[in-house]
Parts: sequence; C-alpha cells; structure tokens
Amino acid sequence: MAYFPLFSITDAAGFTTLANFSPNDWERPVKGDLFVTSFRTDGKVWHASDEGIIEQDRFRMFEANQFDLKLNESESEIILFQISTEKPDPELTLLQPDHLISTHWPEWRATVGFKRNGAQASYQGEVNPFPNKASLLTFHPFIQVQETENYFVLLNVESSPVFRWSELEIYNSNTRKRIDTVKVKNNCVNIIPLDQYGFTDKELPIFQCKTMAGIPFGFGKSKTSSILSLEHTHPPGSLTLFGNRFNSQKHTKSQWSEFLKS
Amino acid sequence: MLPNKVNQIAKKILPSFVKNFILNRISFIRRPDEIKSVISDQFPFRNGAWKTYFELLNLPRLFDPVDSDKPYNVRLVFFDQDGKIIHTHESLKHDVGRTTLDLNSIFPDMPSIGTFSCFHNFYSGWLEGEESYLAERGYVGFQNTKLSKTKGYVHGNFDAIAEDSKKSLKSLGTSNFRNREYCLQHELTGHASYELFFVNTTSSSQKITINLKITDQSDTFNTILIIPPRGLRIFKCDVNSKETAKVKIISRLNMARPVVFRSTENSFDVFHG
Repeated sequence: MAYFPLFSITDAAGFTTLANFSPNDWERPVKGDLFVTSFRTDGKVWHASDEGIIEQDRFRMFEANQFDLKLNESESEIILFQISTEKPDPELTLLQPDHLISTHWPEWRATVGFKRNGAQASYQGEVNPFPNKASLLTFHPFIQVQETENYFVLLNVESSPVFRWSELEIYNSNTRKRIDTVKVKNNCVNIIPLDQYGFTDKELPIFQCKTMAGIPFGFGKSKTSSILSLEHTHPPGSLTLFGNRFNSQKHTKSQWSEFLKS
Repeated sequence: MLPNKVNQIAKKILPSFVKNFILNRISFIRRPDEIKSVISDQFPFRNGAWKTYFELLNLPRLFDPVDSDKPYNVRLVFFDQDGKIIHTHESLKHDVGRTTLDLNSIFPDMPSIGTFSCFHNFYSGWLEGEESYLAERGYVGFQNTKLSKTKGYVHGNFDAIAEDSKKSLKSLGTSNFRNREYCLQHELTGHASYELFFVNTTSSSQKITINLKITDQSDTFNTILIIPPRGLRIFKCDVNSKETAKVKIISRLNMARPVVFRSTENSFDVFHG
C-alpha cells in the first residue's frame, strides 16, 4: 500500500484522515482492524512509531500538532502513515511496501488537508516512494494575483531515509527564461513562495528538477479571508490518453529539456 | 494495467466488434472512433453565488514545445444538467502562457449548474504513431463571491468525452453489468454543507444510489439520482457540529467519483472524491 502523508504549510496546520475500508467493493484486500504506523526519517533511518489501530469501516484523523513536526517557511517535515496487518520493524533502512492492502481503481487514499482560522483545504491522496533517479516537469496554473498568497509545494518521498538535495529550476514559459534555481530536499515538503517572482496572470511558470521527482501542489492563502486553496498538478503523461503513457511523458520531458536549454 | 493486457490479447484473437463490446464493458473508458479525435473531461460549472474559471493552457505546446508552435482552435462546449448542449465558444490559442477564462463572461446566460468540455483541435503524427489522444484534464477554479476572491481549484479526472474532426461527440465512460460500490474515503465533518457533483460520462441514463451513514447511528439514508447521459446531478447534505458521516455510492458506473464541495459559514473546500 501507499503511504499517507501528514505535513503543514506555513501557518496552515496539516491533518490526515485515514480510512479502514476499501474505496470499492471489488477489491477488498483486508477486513478487520488494522495497525497504524507512522514513519519519519532523521536522515539515517526511518523511525516507526506505533499509533494504535484503526477500526474496520472507520476513519481516524491525525493532526500535525500531535507530532513535534519540524516546520519553517521553506520546508515541512513529513510524517508518513501506513496501515497494515502487521507491525513493521521499529527502524527501517528502506521504506517497505505492504502489498497486502492495496487497491488500484482507485488507489486506497486518505484525506490530506490543512486548517487555518477555521477554514480547510484538502485532497484525496497517497504517496508511493519515488525512485531516486526520477525527474520532475510541471506546469503551474494556480497563481492568483489578487488577494492571495501563492506557494509552490513539492512533496518528495524516497525509500532511502538519507537526505539529499537537488536543484529546482523555475522558468517563465513565455520567455523560456530561467527565473530562479532553488534547493529542494528529499523526504520532506519544500515550500516556495511565488509572489516574489511577480508572475502575472498570463504567465505560466514551469518547474523542472532533473534529479528528483515529487508531487507538485499549488497552495494559496487568502489575504482577506480564511480561505485556503490547494490542488496538485497532473504529470506530463496525463496530457495524452491511450497508447504508452510512459513514452508520452518521456517525449514531453525530453522536448522541454531541450527547449528550455536553447 | 489489466485493460491494456486484455486489449493486447483481444486485438490478436477477436473480431473487432466482439473486442469492442467486451472492452467497452470491462474498461473504464472507451476509445474514440477516430484517431484524430481529442478528449476532454466534463467539468462541472457553477453560477449565481459562485463564479467558475477555467485555466486554458496550450496543451499541444505543453505536450511538444518544439513541433507545436502554430495557432489552433479551442472549442468549449457547455452542457445543461440534462446533458444537452446549450452553448459553444471557439477561440484561437497560440502562446504557451495561461489564459484564465471567466466562464460567466463567455457564456452570460449560463445556468446555475452544468458541465463543460474543452477540445484542443490538434493532431500530430507522434500521437497517431502511439495510437494516443490529446486529453484535457485541466484545472477549474471556483470562487464563492460572498466570501473571497480566492479560488479553490480542482483538477479534471474523467476522460469523459471525445470530439472527432467533424465535431461529433462521443461519451467515453462505461458502465458495468452489475451495480458497483464506490466508497468515498473522506469523512464528512460538521458543521458543514456538502454538495457532491456527479457527472454521467456514459451514453446511457444512470441510476445512482447515495448511501449516507451518520457515524454511531444505526440508520442509513438512501437517495436515488437518475442522471441522463452527459448530465449532472447534485447530492446535498448538512453535517451538524460534532457529527461525522460516510458516503457510499452504488451504481453501474465504473467509477462514480464526485467533485465534492464542503462549505462552512466562512470558507469552502473543493476536491475530487
């Protein structure tokens, strides 16, 4: 099964609600109460903590303030939850998959969200560890120029607990000009304020990272109300349907890599 | 992926009409009839107290920035809640920037709810070689005008409908021989009003039963919605303070995943269920 992330974004406190029931009735991998384990890395090993059980057919919510989450303006520590039939080892050198509990149509997911001043924004999500040789290319249409603080948020999880850093390049798609290069870290959530770059509502930022993948989000905070805005972008392979999506994604990434260089 | 493997086997051994019948039953989406077709989700829109925006991006150029630099035609098709076409809007797209379309301004008589699709009239030899189609699964921004200008975004998720080179439409969603359950893995929490938007992406009318269970109460509440092809229906419920609830959707649709709005007095959240 995938892991379910818990993290915060600036002053929006994270919460994650796990479900112990299948999203459909034709893939029912397990029944009964399940163990909940949280994982966090110190850069050397993944430390597992027993979080008790989640009863069958029930939800269970965890909030960031239950954990001593390391958080600053540019990154948030990430807690990963796994629900399983067995308790895992307390210290892992690599995150282990648990194939006993998984669904495909759709994937078993949790509600991952953020709360601030009584408002919340959430998505239905999960995360599988990314290969450490993967790359990222994403187009970011979420900047709101009026009344909103805008952030690019990159969530990365890899099997290895060892921290590493990579460079995230930010481009303006209209000019192909590189606007900035930002250090990003694996096994955490990177938070990049976007208003400093002065993108207009006609410009489409492109984020490229050649040596690290992740789930990219747009996060917005209203300056005049409590409203939060959150959504992830699709991977480039989602621009096409049928055929070989891997080939499609490879085509798009290689074309953009050349295009942004020239 | 199972449908791909079945597709490969079926291609080898079955006549095309038998293959298509079987695949349309077991796959979650049908193939367009023509290789030059383009695909779009059917995105819900709202009007009245809400404003709906669509982030129009140059998909051909994003797909291939080197070989796709010519202007091309984009067609938006609006459907009412019963699936009838009520408006179309065409424009030329050329730059690789972002155009935020205020749907209310391009369709002033827009009803309070409905759906729309966006077709990028683009075709390339690369796509043909891969037997692949350009698909619009983009981003819709909802603004509650009473609360704030900040939009809540939700991405498309369904490959709902294909338009061929003659502008003929084909619904791509499939249904099953028997009812299937889809359980929303989101706990409804109060105090809030929930609205679940269901779109029928198939070519036949669909019955959807929504089973609502308030936590720690023995009773469940069933609501039946009949949704015409390409139509939209909303399930609404209020969850009181300190209450939580769970939703199960029973239908012949292969994936009856709604777009969920959660509204409170001062805020809202929108996400794909």
